[in-house]
Amino acid sequence: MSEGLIAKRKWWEWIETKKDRIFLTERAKKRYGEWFPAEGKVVKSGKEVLFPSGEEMYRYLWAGEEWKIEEREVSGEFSFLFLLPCEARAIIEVTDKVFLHLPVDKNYWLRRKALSLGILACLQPEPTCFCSLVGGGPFWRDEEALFLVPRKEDIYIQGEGELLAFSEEGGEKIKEEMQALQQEVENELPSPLPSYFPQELYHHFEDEEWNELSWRCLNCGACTFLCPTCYCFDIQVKMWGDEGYRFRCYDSCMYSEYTMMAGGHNPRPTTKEKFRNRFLHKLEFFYERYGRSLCTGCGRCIAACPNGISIARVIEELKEADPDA
Amino acid sequence: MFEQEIRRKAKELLEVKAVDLVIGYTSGSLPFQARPTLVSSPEDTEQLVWNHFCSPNLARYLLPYRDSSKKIALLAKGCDARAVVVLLREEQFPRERIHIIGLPCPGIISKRKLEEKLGEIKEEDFSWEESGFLCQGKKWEIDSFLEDTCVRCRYPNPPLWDDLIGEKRESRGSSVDYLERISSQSEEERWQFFTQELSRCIRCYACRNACPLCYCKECFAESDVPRWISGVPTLSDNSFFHLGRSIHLAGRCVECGACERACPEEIKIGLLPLKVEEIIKNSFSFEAGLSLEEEAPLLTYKENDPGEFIK
Amino acid sequence: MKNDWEPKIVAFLCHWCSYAGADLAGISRIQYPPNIRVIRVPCSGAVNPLYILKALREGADGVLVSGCHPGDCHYLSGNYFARRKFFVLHELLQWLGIEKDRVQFSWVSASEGQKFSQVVEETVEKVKKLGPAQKLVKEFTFYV
Repeated sequence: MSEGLIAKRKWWEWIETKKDRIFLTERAKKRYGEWFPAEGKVVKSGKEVLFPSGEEMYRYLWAGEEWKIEEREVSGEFSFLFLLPCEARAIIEVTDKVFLHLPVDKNYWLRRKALSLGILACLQPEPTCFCSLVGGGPFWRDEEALFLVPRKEDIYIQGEGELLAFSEEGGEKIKEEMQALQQEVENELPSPLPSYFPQELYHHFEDEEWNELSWRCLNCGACTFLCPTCYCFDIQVKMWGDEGYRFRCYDSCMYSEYTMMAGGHNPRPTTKEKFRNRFLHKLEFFYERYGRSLCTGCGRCIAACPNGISIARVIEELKEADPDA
Repeated sequence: MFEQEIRRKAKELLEVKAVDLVIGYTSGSLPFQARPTLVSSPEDTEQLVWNHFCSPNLARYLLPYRDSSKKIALLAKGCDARAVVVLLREEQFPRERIHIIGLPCPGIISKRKLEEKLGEIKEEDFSWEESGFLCQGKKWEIDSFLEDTCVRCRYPNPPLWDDLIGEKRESRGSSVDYLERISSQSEEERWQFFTQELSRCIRCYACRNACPLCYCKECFAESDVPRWISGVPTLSDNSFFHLGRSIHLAGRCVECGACERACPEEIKIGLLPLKVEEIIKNSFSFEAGLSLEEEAPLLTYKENDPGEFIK
Repeated sequence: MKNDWEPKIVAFLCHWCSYAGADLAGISRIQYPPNIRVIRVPCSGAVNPLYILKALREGADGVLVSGCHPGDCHYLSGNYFARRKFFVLHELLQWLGIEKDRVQFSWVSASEGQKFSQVVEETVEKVKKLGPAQKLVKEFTFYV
């Protein structure tokens, strides 16, 4: 892995050659818009690129004698996605693990292998940010992805690929500068949760606390749809006479339909059960299976919640309820 | 802003066991936000707040208690109380189990407008003043920061209450509101506007769930048989949902704007039900939530109703 | 190309009057354009506004709802209630900018075979003028 500095003008030249093959998340655009003049397509998060809110899977048609099935081709044109560390973690540590775990989700894989990630360091955490609490950080990076720190006149880059050819050696000095910068941003953020926290949660399933925490929840899907890691989907079918198609779309654990069973029984009937499931899935169930938190601390759900529910605050209150933590 | 009086009243009601629960507002998880809260013991009433950020319509929290025997005190702004009136009229809740603490409403401040006009504000730089607030060393009138639905509000005072805290206010009811602005555009411009707005909808149903009057056990949007709309937020399905919802609210919407304020995408979604209410007001002279004896306009008819559009 | 296009129109006809009116038109061999697909309903008051929206969303170019004349409803007042509902829907569609001419309403009694054929002719003509429906129609392809 190599590193270096790219001057602003050179960076812009490179962007110019990529044009419509650049995706940019809303947050990256807000923070570093000047680095991405015009063309780039702005998305809510990586989820919108890799796992869109609606996607046709196959079409079918009665061809007189038999059913004809036509699979949907995913083009998977090579492109770049620039995003913040929390959003990158959502892809690399969460959705990749889920969709590329056997059996591999074909559409996701075709899009994913054509996508190159550029992680932009987060220099101004927002009031809703808490990435460090759940194991991430404003300078979180991954070997497979480019890591970038935009500065005044140039951009620090670490990783591999064609972009590195544009860079100049930064030397030891830049390493120190980066470390100091990282320290400075990290100081503003909360310290990580104790590692035993997820296991502890296991004992809190029946807590009275959940009634109070969940009471104001509206059971809307704003948090789940905007969350960069929520990956639940529903498969539905559309049919006219003897032709139609099957497609998938987002589903949310906040909806009654999500757990509704044939015959009308619903194992999660009220707000409390749905709410508890959402938070325990984020913090415990996913941890049990994949060894990491499903929440990357981006704070989108906190900003989006119409009734001011904050996952960071829920974590705080659960911690308080636990005398050992 | 009568915060102390509200706390005292809530405490008194709980102490004498006149009610089992008080539903009110407490400070939010972010600055400039208030969130709904449930108070069941007199000591906890200190957490109640009442300010220009108390946006959610609390009438929405009544229905989960429909089948319990709890008696509930509800803090109600003008529009919240109107929603309660509609719920009572629709026999969704017994009058004797609800105690309305009416609050003449000074208007809700839009956080979005605050940020648009003043940028990001720190809580330390902000303080309340007579009829306005101090921010960044300057005094601001609240009028230009009010939510769009509050700008056009004609009923800041609750039509029904058991206790009224604060002085009755005059109606704001500006006629040059955002509904008027959209209506003055051409048909094509309006379609452009709604296409832009509705295609941003992610169909999280926050609008529906924040609405005190959207209480169907199964919403048409989620019904399996028949399946009216798919789960994909395409423009056609989004329009179908919002059209269907506003028609379903015809003659019932109390114009509180809770749907619009709940929207995480900041879509001007309240416009559709508001327009339906305007049609109903102009043609059938009816406004929802003002009296318990009212007859819902779509559950009645007159022989001379407008009929020119029918061949 | 455009001249070949024939609109598809979904017609909700009330069982007691308009459906019988359509029958009479057929028995009397009164000609009317073959663009309508009839759905028989018990009463115009039973037509939920969602049915109309759903027809448009599934690709109908126009919708016709027809019931008994005011005062003649088999259920006494169903069509009066329907009139209020349709009025609200009609106004709202226009305000949104969805062509309101695509949705037509009429009163046709069991003895008005001639009027039924006229109503269908007029409806088809109006919808033809507007061209194929584009607003509210379901997008068949999502982006990949």
